[in-house]
Amino acid sequence: MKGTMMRDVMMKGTAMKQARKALVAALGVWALLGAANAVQAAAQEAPKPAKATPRLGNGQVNLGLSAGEKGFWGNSGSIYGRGRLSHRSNLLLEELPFQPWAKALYDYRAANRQSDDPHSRCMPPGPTRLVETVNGFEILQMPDLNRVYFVFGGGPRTWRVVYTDSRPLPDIDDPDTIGTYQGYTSAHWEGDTLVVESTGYNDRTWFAQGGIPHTRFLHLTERFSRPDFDTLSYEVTVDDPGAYTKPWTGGFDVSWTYKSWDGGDEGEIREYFCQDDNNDVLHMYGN
Amino acid sequence: MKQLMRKRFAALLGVLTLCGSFVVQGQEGYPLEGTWSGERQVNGKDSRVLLSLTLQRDQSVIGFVIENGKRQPLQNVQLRPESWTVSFTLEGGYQVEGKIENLGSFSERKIVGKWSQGSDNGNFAVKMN
Repeated sequence: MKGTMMRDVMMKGTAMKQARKALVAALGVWALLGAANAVQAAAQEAPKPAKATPRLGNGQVNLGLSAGEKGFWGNSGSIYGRGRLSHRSNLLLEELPFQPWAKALYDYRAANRQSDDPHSRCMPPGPTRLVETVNGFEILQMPDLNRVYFVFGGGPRTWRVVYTDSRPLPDIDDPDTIGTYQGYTSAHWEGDTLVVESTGYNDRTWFAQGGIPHTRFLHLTERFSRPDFDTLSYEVTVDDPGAYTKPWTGGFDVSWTYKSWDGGDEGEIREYFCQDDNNDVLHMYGN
Repeated sequence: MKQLMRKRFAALLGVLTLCGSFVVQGQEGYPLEGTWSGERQVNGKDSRVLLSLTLQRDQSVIGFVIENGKRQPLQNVQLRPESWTVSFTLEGGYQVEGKIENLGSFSERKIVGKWSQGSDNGNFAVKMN
């Protein structure tokens, strides 16, 4: 009996040692697995290196599509407010230096849910609105012709010509200067940034999202840059003494979009025409 | 600016010959900027009026009225955006107090109110061209 008990005690002790060893081994494996998972998770969370800014053969930054690539410029922010893709340095709506009538008109439009938006009646977008659209847009550079074309992907098929020959801008107080939807442009490159001066706008558009007003005195200084392949940075200085008490600046980033609107892999802007002279205007709403 | 006003005057004469108003395109800027046409009721009869208003950089508004072939400059044009009411006076003539209706419309924006000169008065209504 005594020997049996001793044998039992010894076996229990051995078993406990073995169990302790197994536990330590298991803990070690678990620790190793945890470490491996942490490394893998860290690798997955780390942002992929941005694709390099593409350039044309002459070394100029390519603001548009490159050979062998697909896509177009899609989602964007706003030139005021600090929402997604809007620049952190933007003024908030309540900080915009509106003239009193301009603020009252903006409030009227907002209260009516922007139902009077001319863009919803198939009228062309204004210059900033053209690059502030969910429908997307494309940029075509023609350095040999001193032109950059902005092609709008929205319903009113619009394009804007930016002349890069530093031509003089017209005198808007000259009665022979006819205001246009996209204005008269004169642009130049400052390093990798396209700087576009423009004036001579008519007042038939909402030049930017949200219904902030402008007048025929509108003068814009726009800056387009492409810090990496997938990002277009847009900044504009609005100088319009008719609607604002002083010049102000705002901007946003635009994301490169690889998918077509319908999710197709072609990465192309689909054909989409809105109906000009829509006779059911009274039942249309904006946003 | 005088040249701009002369151009507007000539354009308004062209409108007169068309014998009616027509929608050109929507005006989305300063609500009074542009040309308007309508009637001023004088002794129970409608008198055709054409109105032209232009915003200046300093926020002042200049303009003129054409009525019975006579062009008269405006004075003291005021827009009160808190109520969207409008007032102006013809140089040496009547004054108008009105309100903008259908502010957001591109085809139905109007100034509707009254004119007065001494003890005379009547309706005044113009629609944006």
